[in-house]
Amino acid sequence: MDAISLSSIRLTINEKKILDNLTVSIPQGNAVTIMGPNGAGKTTLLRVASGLVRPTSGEIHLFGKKFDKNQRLLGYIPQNLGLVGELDVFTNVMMGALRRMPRWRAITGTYTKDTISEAYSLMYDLKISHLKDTKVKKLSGGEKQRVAIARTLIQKPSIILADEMTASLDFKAAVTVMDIFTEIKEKMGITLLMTHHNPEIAKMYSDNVLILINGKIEKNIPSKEITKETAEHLYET
Amino acid sequence: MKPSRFQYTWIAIVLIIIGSSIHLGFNPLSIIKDTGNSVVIVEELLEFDFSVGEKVLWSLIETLEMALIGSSIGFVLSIPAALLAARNISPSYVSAAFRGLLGILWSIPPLLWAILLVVIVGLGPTAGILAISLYIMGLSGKYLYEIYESQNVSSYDAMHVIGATRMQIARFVTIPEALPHMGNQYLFLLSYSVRESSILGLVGAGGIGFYIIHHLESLNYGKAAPFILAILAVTLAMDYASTKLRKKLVHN
Repeated sequence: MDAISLSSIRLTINEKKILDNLTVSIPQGNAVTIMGPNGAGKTTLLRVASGLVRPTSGEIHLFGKKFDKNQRLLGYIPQNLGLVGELDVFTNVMMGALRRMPRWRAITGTYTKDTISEAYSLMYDLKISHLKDTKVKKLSGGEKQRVAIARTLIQKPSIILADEMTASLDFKAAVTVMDIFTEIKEKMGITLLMTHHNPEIAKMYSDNVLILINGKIEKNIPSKEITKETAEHLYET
Repeated sequence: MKPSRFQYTWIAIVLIIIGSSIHLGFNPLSIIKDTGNSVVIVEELLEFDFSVGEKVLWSLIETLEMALIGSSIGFVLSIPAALLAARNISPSYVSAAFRGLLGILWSIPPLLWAILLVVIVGLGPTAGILAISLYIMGLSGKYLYEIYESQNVSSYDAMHVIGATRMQIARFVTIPEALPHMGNQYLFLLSYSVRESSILGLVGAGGIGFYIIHHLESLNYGKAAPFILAILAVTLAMDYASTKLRKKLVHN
């Protein structure tokens, strides 16, 4: 079954076509990377898929049902991760569970034992338990990525949309983060739609790669077919 | 060579300033021309009459208390008001209404608020405190909603996808991210309020200004001098202390 399918998505802003008749389906449990030059529409595509931007036309279905924000199926890791630097790691992680808590608990910060133990277990899996009381602004790039992943996973999403989540990391750090993330993702059966600049990362951690140019999907190919030359050609475009 | 648009603008500004001065009959040289008066006033001011020492102390304490209470009330009220005025948090009709309210509070100077409030609540520090509160609420609210609106968009995006309510976003993103700025701002507003409180007495709204105007009007310059000196010293001290504290906050 397709976890997410986008049909004939068009987005026009000030008469400029940002996304142009875009159709794509991702089977449950798959990982797909969107690659393309700057300004191709990668981030916009993820923002449309997440419901942050309403497309001019077209439809989005999650597990066969028309997209509804209340379905709580989506997790989203934005380009700059969207963490709150002035709050500690634990609070940032708990923010992902806000939707599942009664409002008064969310406002007063009195979390249930179950949610706290879920957060601890995720922080343990992502190797950030020792940082739980540290302000996020004091963390390294790799540590911040892990906090963003933990915040998304505590939502218990079926689909995660991740925008350049390893952008600020060197290759080694990116692999470490992606290894941990992929292990958890597979354990939880999560479908992943992400953007990456690094073709190696795309090849290692996705089933398919979508090549997006000028708001159109030019190619949808198995990730193993991505070569260094393809990527170089892509970013010269 | 033909003057540029930039040069034309400056020429126009200078002409407007000269025109306004002529219109108002403003003559900067009059301060030198009437040196006789200036010398007499300065001489009398320098004859400090310290028999008013106790009054200086108590009126100074009253002024500081007015500034502390007024700026604190105004600052605390400005936090939710700015949340309601921020376009990235509140619906557009709510933000428009609160921007208007904060604009009104800010555009009326504290002295004018004090005149209005003396009529409503009567003479004394209560009018002064309320005047400071209202003005600071407007001033601080305007600063704050601009801080809120310039915050990292991706944190808001993440919270929207999580499905957080506006109140949750304010509690977990907006306020925590603004906190370091708020500390700075409060200290600045406090020292600003001390300066403002010192003149509210001119219209009977409490504080040291009452004694200054009383002694100046009865030509007791020597008695007015210690009050003026006290205000000068406290204002400079407050400015120095708040700058130091703000620097410390920024480093943390």
